Amino acid sequence: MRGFGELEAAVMDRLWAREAPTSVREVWEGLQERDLAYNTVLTVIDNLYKKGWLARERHGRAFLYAPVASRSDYGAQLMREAMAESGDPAAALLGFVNQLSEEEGEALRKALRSARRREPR
Amino acid sequence: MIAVNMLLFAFVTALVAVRWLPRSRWVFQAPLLGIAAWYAALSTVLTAIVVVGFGILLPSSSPAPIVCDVLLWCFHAMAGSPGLGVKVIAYAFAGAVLGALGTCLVRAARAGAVQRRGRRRHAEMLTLVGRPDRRLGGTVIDHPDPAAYVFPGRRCRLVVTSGALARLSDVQLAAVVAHEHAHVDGRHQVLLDTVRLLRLALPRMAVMTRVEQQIARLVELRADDVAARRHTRGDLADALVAMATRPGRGLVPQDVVAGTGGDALERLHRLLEPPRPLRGTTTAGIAVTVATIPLVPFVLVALCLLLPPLFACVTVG
Repeated sequence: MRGFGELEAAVMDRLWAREAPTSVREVWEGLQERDLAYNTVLTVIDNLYKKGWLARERHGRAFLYAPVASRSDYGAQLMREAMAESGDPAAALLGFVNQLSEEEGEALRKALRSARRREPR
Repeated sequence: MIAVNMLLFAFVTALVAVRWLPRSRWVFQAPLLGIAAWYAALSTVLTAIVVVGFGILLPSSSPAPIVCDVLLWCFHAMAGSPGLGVKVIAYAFAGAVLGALGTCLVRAARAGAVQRRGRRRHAEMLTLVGRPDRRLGGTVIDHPDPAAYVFPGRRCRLVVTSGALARLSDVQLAAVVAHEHAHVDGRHQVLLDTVRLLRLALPRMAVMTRVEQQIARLVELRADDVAARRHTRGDLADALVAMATRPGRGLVPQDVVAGTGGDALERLHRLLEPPRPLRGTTTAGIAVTVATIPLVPFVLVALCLLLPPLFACVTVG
């Protein structure tokens, strides 16, 4: 079974770029340089739909597909999952540092400034 | 069977660990040793409980059910030999122990499955949404807030936001990447996940949350130490401040704010004023203690089996 990968990302790229519900044929035509079979693209799109990444609506005999959320929405969700603490299934990932509140951030900046002032150089 | 002594030893170990390790200076100086100490305490407690549990569940050759060693009340009831009442209670207790053990295993399995599903979804999302960056050696997510993390898996992925790339200088970014690679090399995700699943398997206990927080704290200190071998602590400190503070107003997830500020401040002070490394003899002494304590339950069992006269005078009743 092929892993989830680069082809799926390319398909999502095209669908996000389109900003409107798109047919499989249009996506396939957009990926011409990859020399893919139409059925391959169809399978990928169908899988993405089944996994919940795409929504679809009927348009005549064909389906039109569109991403369920924007790229930035997913980006924000990834951040929330990575940085959030307990309770989240993908939680406890090893991030560099979590975001602080305004006051804590100011306290941190102040600590750095006073330490720098103490340094001889 | 010296069940009571073993449980007592486990309890004392847990108490000492929880009271002493979070504040210890030597843990602050040598976080890896601190992590080992926490794991030693955890494994000691678990071993003791499992050994005593087995003793309760397995039929014993002695006239008294082993559960009587744990429940001291039936000590007196056994002036002659155990009556029916004692036996019934012993079986009931054994059933309760089995039930508790089974519940913990089921909770652990469920928590593990939920975590795997969540992580798989996260990985798929990363593949679809992120842009691979060969020069960085990882994936970039378009997001204004600065963040960087490693995602566990067969290929550990470094993930950095565009906000982080914008805020950090080249040396600061290199320091952050070194810190994240230290997490990967040190298998810190496994260390953290183990404790997390243990916490989820057991009934809700504040102490287990504390242990998980301490492991998370020490794992960050350790990664800072490793990164500081190749990058200056000043760059790490700058990177820490740049990544922890937002350039403007943004969304701060509510559950992130609690409890993380203290860690960032501690890390900053530790980077700016690094503690002296432990002396070789101190390290050796602590390492030996940490390695020995988890063996005590096994030693007790061995003594029990090999030297019955000895164990007869160390058991209770």
